[in-house]
Amino acid sequence: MKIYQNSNEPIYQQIAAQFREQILTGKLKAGDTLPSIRGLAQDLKISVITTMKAYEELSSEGLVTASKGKGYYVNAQNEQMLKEQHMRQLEKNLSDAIYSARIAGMGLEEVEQTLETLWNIDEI
Amino acid sequence: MNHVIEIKGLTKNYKDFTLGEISAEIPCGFSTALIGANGAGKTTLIDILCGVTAKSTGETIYFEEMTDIGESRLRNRIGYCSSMNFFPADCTLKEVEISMELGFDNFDKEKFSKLCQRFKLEVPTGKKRKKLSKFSDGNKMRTYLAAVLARDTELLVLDEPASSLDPLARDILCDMFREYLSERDGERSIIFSTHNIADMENVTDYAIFMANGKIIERGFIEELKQKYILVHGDAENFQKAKPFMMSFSGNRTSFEGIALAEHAGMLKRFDTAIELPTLQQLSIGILRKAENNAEV
Amino acid sequence: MQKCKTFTLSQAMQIYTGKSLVRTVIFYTVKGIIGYFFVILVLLLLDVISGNFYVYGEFFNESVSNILLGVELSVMLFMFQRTYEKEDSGGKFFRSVTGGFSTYQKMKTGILFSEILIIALVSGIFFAASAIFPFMPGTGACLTICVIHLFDVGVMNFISIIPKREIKYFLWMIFPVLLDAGSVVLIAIAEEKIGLFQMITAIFAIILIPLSQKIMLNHYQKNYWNT
Repeated sequence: MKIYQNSNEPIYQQIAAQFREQILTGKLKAGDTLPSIRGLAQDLKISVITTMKAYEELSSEGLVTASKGKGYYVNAQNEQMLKEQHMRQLEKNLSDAIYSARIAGMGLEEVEQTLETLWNIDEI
Repeated sequence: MNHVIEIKGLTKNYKDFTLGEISAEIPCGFSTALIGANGAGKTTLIDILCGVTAKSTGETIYFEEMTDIGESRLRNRIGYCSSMNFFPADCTLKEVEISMELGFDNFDKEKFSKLCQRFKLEVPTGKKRKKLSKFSDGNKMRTYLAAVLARDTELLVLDEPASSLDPLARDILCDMFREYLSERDGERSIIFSTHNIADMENVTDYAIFMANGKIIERGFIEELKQKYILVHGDAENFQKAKPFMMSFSGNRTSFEGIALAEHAGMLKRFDTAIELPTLQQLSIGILRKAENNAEV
Repeated sequence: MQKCKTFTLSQAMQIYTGKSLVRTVIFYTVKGIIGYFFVILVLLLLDVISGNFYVYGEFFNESVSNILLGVELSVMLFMFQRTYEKEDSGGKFFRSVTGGFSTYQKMKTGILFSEILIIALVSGIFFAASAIFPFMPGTGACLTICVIHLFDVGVMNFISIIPKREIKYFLWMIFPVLLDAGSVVLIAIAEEKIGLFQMITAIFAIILIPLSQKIMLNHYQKNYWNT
């Protein structure tokens, strides 16, 4: 877990984002427990309030559930929801790419070509 | 939310200073920082909470059930130390051990020895003969902290514990705070005062700001970081930004200050950079505002 | 008010000074006796060196021994005068320890008993030994010096009520010295009436000690404990 103390993104959001990624990519599986609130705070040398807030955010998104005495554990994510998350991420990334293309003055065809090339490289 | 201490209508009248009226709730299970300039009343408040100074009016409830700080049972649950001259100057470490063991029910000699070692106090093996008056300020403070941490308490109340410590010792202290709290997760709390929050920022969960004997702001740090923003801008936009700023400092090229987050929209229009404030920057902003108000 | 522990006088003393009552009494008694003989030894050496028996010859009389005994006891008394105010080192620790003011009270009472015991012991030992050993105060003198210092115990308590620190310390130092000087002179000139003087002083001492202790403690609690 990496956090940037002096970034403009609140630390709790950074933590939540990193756990979110781990859950959605399957690195953390359903039933896995997250580190304890205090333990994580101790390791990262931050306030326990911050880790609490990060976990509360993940909980409100339905990604984790708090269990009394045992801490937070990962919820079973259904395939559809995972797919939707990834779709949203894809749309965001494509929007960024289109923005860059426009600035560079690239047309749709050029962009499609670049997409094909990169897709093929990835497959190899 | 449990409160380890509830303060209602507390005041203390001195000839040239009045503390109060103070009303506050200290959350249980967390580390609370009392932040304020010298003379703000932090030491007076802490001394009253620990029975060292008598209050003029008001009521204090500890652990949601006890109200008499003179009671030995309550005193045993609280670990208090001041920042200067806490133990007699002609005491040796051995005598500190004797006094602590007699004076409280829950003092652990072995733990005290281990803590002395961890704090690198010069302890001639087994003898502990050097008088406290010969210690440096930093070592005196480490002795006080080792003594109070060697007790099994539920609440630590420390008056400026970091002020005379070097950065490495402060880091050790922060680790000790965290260990103290996690040993009895949720049941133990810490209150400490400081006039320099930068070093203790990462062990602070809840902050209370004091000026001129009163509490001027309080909150959990995440709430405070959402309530306020740090604003930077060019000098030429200063006059436009000023009305929306809570407090600020400026020079010929730029200005910087704290504002309420709700004004972020307006402030962005004046070509400013908006950032998350650290607790240190927040403290400067809040305390500066109080100072300006006092002058008016 | 519930208490987990009630301290004995000795334990209260240990919290404040690190030494129990018995240890304190023994330490200062032995110190007083050794101190006395140390000075005598130095004076003798000076005599021998100068070849003149200045002190222990023509001018030797019991006055030197009486003064010495008085000084040892006065110095001891002075060493016990500590008020542990909040700003003094240790002040805040003592105010936060269990028992609070009652622990302070017990410590002060323990110190009082220590002072009385030390005075009695030292004087008593010299009294018994004066028949056998040379360079000692006379038996009558031992008694006089004893009651004078018992009276002094009460006076020192009253002096500690004075608010100004400098005046307090000055009086603590000066008063016993004046008393010593006065008593030595008295012993020298009024040998016959000395019995009466001893009795009167003893009576005053018996009244003054508990009275001064009570007044001092009340005053301290009101003005210096929790302010």
